[in-house]
Amino acid sequence: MGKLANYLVVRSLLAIPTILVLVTLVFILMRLTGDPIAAMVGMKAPPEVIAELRHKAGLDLPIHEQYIRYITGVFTGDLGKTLLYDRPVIKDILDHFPATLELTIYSFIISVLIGVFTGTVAAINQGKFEDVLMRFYGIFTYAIFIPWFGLLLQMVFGNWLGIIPIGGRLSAYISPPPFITGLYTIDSLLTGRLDAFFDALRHLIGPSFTLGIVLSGSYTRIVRANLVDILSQDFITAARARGLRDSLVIKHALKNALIPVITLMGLEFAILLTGAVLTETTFSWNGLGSYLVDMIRNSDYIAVQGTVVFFAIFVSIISVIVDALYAIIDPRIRY
Amino acid sequence: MDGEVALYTEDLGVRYYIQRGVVKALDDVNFRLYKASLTGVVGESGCGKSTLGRAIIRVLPPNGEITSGRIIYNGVNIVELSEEEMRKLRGREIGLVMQDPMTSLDPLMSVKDHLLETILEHIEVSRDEALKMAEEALSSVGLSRELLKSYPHQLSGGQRQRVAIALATVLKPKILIADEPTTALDVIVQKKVLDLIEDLMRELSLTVMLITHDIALAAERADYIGVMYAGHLVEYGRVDQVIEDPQHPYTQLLLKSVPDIENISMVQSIPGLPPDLVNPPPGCRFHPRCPYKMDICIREEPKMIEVGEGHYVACLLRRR
Repeated sequence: MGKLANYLVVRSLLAIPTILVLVTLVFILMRLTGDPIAAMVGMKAPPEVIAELRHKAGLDLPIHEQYIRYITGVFTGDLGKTLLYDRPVIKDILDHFPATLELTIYSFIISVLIGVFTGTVAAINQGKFEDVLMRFYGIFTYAIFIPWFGLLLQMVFGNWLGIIPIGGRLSAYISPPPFITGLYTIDSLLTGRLDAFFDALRHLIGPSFTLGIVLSGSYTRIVRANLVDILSQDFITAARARGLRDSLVIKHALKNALIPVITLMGLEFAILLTGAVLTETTFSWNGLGSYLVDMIRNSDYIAVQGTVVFFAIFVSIISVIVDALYAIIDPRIRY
Repeated sequence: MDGEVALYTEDLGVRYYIQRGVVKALDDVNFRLYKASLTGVVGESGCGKSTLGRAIIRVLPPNGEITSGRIIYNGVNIVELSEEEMRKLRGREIGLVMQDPMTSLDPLMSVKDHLLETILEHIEVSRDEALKMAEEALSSVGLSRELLKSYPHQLSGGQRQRVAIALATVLKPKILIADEPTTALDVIVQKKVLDLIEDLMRELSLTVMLITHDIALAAERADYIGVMYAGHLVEYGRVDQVIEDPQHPYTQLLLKSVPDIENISMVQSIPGLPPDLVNPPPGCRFHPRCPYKMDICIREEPKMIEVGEGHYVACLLRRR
């Protein structure tokens, strides 16, 4: 496995230039959208106040110095201080990130499970009613607008049936578990707080199914397409001709069909984070998405810039993990 | 001199259902395999050779179906077996080797896992015993046990085909269906793979069905030959009967189409193309290309008649 470790180191180093380009793009874009200070305090603010704020944000420096300060900051974990509250942005991000991570992990699992299941059902019933139904599911869910779907779930399962809470991460009468990872379901299990665990799980149902179902449609379609293709290949016929039972034959096929799905997982993760922003605001989920929307409303460009950079780095790390998964699963990948 | 029959078909018919209609892929095929002998099945592409092989082991494509006739193996009509009963025969009693070794192995599985999976699916042995069987199977096809850990992409075409043969024979089946097993290989490797199949045939008293478009190859290796045209078996007999005294015009033309190294200019191709099996020609399906066509050939479908001992032909010219 020495070769694999080598590959992972090289792949991780290659992520650095990617991140550099991403954060530079963020830097440029943030400066193309007009003067953030003026946007924040309004036109009528006294010029001295604006000048002071500009100085605090480092906006009075020449552009190349701003850039160097910014890049050094990114690589040393200093994303500046929020204009509004004068708190380190990185601290805000780390406070809100666990909630988002918890939501995205559950949504991710739900979307993959539903997507693989529906795609497989469609492929092994190719051309039949089940296939048509699953393909419709794939297209329909792909086209759903998240806040609309979230509100629908809140209305049906929260209001009418009353089986899920309509927002938040925990009920008001439950105290949060001690902070270990920041993920309530994990922390509560680690500390044996079963009341908090089940309450957190109940709160996760609405937002994670909203996001999970919306994202599952892409998996449905790619799993179906790949599986239909693989099922017609010789090695499947050969496996049947060796007398393997159907479940084993489908296992062979599914394993091969899931390789391109890993690529999709990497790509979907970026969409998952975008979706998290919408889902969090719909379910008043106090994560990084809600935070970002708040900071955009307040025109706090330092906080926005920091959060976007954080998302970008996070997605880059996920893509390294996806490549590593690839190398482990597919023996044909050379590294 | 004829041995015991290992398997035979009676009026076998297979249909494929496609958008354009129904493909009459096999009709009234009466074919047999003699025990511990090699039977070559020859004909042009699309004439039903592979369909016959796939029908016998019942792994037709999803749009294919056996619609008539029987396949008798050990006194049992295997067309009537349940899917689960049939599954137990596959690999255990009847093995299949496919044309393209590049695509007939699962790219994500090692040679060892392929073999173990097949063994453990059929017989109850410990993993160690299964591993021993896997090693024996590899050495019986002339591969070293070091290749057990390899993945398909690490093997050459010839090695892969040997692995495919090891997989098809690891449970010592009675019948091996080899569907163009050498077409995708280069000439030297072709010879080695065919030699290997003949060796295994002797060692395991295998009954081999060798599907090939190359009648010269069948003439060299086979004990019996079946000639197929447009979903019909048009001639069947011992190799000396079919090659030295071909009775069907199609067989005669196939033999003339074999290049002769001494006289390369004498190669003849058969004019025309095999018919569309959604709408096959009436009467004898070969009549549009037949040099001896008679009026009756357009109206009447020829039945198989015995012209010599164990030598059958379906041609109206031979009707007495």
